[in-house]
Amino acid sequence: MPKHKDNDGPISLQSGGVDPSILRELSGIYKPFFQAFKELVSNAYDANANSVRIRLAADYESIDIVDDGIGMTLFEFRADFTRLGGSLHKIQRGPIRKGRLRIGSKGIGFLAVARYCSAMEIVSTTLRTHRGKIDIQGKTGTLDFSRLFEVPIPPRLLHNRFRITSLTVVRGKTRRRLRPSEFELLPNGRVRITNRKRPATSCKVELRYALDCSTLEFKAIIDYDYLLSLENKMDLSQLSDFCTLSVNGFENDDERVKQEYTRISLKGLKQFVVRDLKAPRKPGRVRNIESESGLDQFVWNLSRCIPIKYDPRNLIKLEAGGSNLESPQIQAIDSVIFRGPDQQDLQLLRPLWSGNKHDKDWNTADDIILPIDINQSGLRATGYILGHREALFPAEFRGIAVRVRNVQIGAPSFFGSEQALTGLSRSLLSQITGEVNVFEGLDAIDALNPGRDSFYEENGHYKILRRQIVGDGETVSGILGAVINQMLEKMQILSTVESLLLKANNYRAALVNLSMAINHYGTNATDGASLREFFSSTQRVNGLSHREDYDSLPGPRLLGYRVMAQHQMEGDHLIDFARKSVYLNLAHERWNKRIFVLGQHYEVVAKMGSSNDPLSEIDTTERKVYVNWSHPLRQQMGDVAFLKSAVVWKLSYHACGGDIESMMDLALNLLTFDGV
Amino acid sequence: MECSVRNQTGFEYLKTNCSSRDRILLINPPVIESRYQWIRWNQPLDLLKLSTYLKVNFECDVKLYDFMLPVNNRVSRTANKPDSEIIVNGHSFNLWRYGNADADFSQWLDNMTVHWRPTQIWLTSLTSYWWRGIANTIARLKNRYSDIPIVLYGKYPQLERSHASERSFADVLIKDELDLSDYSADFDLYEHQRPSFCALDIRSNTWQQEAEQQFARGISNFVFFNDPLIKNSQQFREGMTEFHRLNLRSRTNLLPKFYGICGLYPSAFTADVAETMKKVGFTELHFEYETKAGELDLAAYRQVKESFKEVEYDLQPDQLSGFVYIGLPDDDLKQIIKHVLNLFEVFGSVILKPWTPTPRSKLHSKYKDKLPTDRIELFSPHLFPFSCVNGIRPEEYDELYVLVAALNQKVRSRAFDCFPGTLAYEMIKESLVREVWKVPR
Repeated sequence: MPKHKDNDGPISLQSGGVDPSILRELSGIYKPFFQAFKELVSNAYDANANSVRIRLAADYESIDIVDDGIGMTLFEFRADFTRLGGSLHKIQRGPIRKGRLRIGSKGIGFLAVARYCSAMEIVSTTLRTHRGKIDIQGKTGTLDFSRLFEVPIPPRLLHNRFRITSLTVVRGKTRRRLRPSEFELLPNGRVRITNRKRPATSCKVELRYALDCSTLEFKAIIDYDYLLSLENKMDLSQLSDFCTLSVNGFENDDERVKQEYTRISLKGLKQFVVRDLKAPRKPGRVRNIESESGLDQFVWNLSRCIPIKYDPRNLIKLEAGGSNLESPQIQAIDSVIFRGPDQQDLQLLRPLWSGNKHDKDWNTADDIILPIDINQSGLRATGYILGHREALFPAEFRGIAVRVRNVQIGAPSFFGSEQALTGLSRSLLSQITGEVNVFEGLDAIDALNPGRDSFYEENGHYKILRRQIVGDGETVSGILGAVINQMLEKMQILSTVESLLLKANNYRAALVNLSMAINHYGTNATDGASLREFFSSTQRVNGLSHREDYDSLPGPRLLGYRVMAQHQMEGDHLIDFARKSVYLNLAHERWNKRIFVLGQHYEVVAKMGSSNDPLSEIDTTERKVYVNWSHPLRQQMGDVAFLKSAVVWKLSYHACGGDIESMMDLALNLLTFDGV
Repeated sequence: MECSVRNQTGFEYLKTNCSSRDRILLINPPVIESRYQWIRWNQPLDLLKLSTYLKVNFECDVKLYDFMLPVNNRVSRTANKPDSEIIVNGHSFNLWRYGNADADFSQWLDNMTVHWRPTQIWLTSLTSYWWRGIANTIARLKNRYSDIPIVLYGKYPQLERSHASERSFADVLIKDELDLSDYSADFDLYEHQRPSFCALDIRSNTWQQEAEQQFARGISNFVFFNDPLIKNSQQFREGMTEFHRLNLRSRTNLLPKFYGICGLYPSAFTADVAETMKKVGFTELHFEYETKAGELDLAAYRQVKESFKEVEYDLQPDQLSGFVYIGLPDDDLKQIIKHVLNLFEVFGSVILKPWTPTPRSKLHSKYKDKLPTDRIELFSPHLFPFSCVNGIRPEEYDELYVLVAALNQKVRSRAFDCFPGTLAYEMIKESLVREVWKVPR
């Protein structure tokens, strides 16, 4: 029972008999500060708040959170808020209004912020009526019941608010309910029994009442410094007061009448909290949240783990999450506004990775996205895993976030699968993000640890979730395994196609370079005559031209992908991962096999000649250059060097008519020609 | 190698080969030269006017690729190694390639061809001896577009038709100059980077309106490429006064500025002309070389100086100079140095202007036998094609440059791009800065 005072001043509450050292332990569960602070937003959500406003004081010494939820009566505050395990009984009541499933369950929320501030001030009012029962023992002519409330309410505030709903006299096994005419409610917080048969001395009186709280506002101050210092006190039973409570009544014309709200202020934020919040942004280029300013980090981290809405412009919401992220079962507070020192109001929206900052053209088409849909043994969850083509930034997005009742549980992770992966597969984890929204299951007391930052691994639902996402063998399977496999496959095909295109580019560049070299020297007044003469002469060939053509295009399949040659398409190539097809635009310049030589176009044809066949042949009549692509020298020289050498030596030989010195000069000039 | 190249007049070709269905790509090709002076002032005015003509008369779709568009008032060498080497009279010159790299051009074509494939390509060049940059560009285009006609326009096909026919690889040579003086330059062709100046044609009846239009677009620097600039003093002043009446200064914070960089002859410069130029905002005047019987026409230069005084037209030495031509067949070093010093007296600043004969001109014909006919790149004035006639070696011309550069350095806050980097230049510059001629007391 609380100590009572006759005046209206604040009185103290007790900590409920829990050993202070346990309080101290429990207060350490929530870390860092944003994790503790999120509990206050969760409380607002549980209170059906539509709007929450958070304001950090200019001096960073205090932070307020005001919500428009259903508020608390001072009796609820006493019974639920400050008592350990106080909210347990709420779970049994099922969903609160608006269909929201309650987040809080352990009843230790009030301790969450205890280590981060000196005191917490709570001001709240509600439109609800409190109904209670008081048992009065002993002789009862006029009964002073106001002293017997669990919470202190000055008798003057009871006037017009307090109503007796029943008065029962219990004597032994006999119970008699008094009629309204048999008792009288006095203005000083007493009741007088007026019937003639007064109860005997040893009887008990049961008084049931209703208290209209709609014009009452209470203010409580929890002294955390005091509470957490109790451990060192010698006599705990004498030093257990930690909360002062006072109640105000409103006049009917007060603007607060018919309002419900709760305002919580954390006073005297600890120095380490202030220091963290004031930390400046790291200098230079910043990609990760941990390098942002302390305040930005706090806001981002808080936004990520509280039940608020997504940014509606987010692409991933539309393309990856779809209905999962928009499910009506995912409830959120409509508006959470944050205002820091010297800042404008900032509407908090839950951050969701939507392409790296530098990648303005990002869309999900190039990424691998697999849905998560689990409905097994009471666990129902949906979500997605996304594999991007490069490392994700900010790095805080890497991993799969699990959200229970729209609150993120701990940091995103890969369920410990990092240990099972090696090499490239492991490095791919930096390119993966994802999210699971749990609608049913995983909310039991034995699933979540008290700080709601991790799951108990032995929990059955957690095992199902983990198995579905990463498998349960020594290798990573499940949906994450499938994403990694698809990413590897995609990387392989991308790299193979890129290498193919690069090869074609180099081949084409070599052809153009050859053409430019011949044109350059061929138009020189002095040494160009021999080249001009050669290309004006009639040169026929009969060796390589009869050999089979070498097809420089890849075969019908490339790593299991069908290769489709196109002559009219947008872009130079396209990889359709869904249909496992590669489309190559053969109209692109890189596939051009024609070269311009001193006024004429020649086609360069690769032939499957033998090692005895010449390196190349030039047919000035047909305007074709044949290159022996099967010649063993090609293996040693590489494609580009071989192509140029094969043509240049043959050309120089013919153009110089057997003059070795001139041939060498011309060949070296042509081979070393370097058009810019 | 000559392969059915068509020689046509410009209008004849346009009349029969252009329609609204045409997508025409205009190209100002790169330059391969030993030195590239006046780097700020290269603008393919003929192509810009041609674009307007094509749009107005045929509704063609036109695009431009300008290799030589200055970036931050600079046209850089493409690579830090020479394109080739050329020997003239035993003296070796490095030829450098100026302008955007071919790789950038290819990339531009790659991106453009996806949505816009040209049906005709036109190239031009300011001079005939820059043919190598043209031929290289056409060969590159021919490798890519075997089916698109390439039309060569400008001085090269006009002056060296036979050479162009054999070596340029163009399909069509335009043998004359299209008179498009009344068409404005189409600056819309510069999609992403607007040039810092607008070249005008004094012969045009509408150059004032064109300048007004470009001024409205934020271009406030104007230059005339005409030679002579002042053909008729009265007419010149009337044209300038008409421009002045537009009162562009009142419209924005910008001031229109004119640069007289060519065609300005001292004998045509009077106090009235000076006053007009001052009024409209000529901020740089560089006078052509004018001689009489082999001597500097000092009377004409004095008249220039008097005119400046009379109208209180104060231009600083870096805004005012006189050209001295070098590289002529009758060059005499002593005479040149004398003229340089005389002009220093007048203007305080002198620019050596290497000279080359126009093909088929009187002088060209006179020395035809001594000049290379099939190596027209040797006609570049920077290679001193007449050094074989006048006996002055190219390195002696180089020394002349150093001397003038050193003199200019003393009086000019910003010198022309003469020979920075050479040891002699650096030494003289340093000596001048230290005023080494002063004997310590």
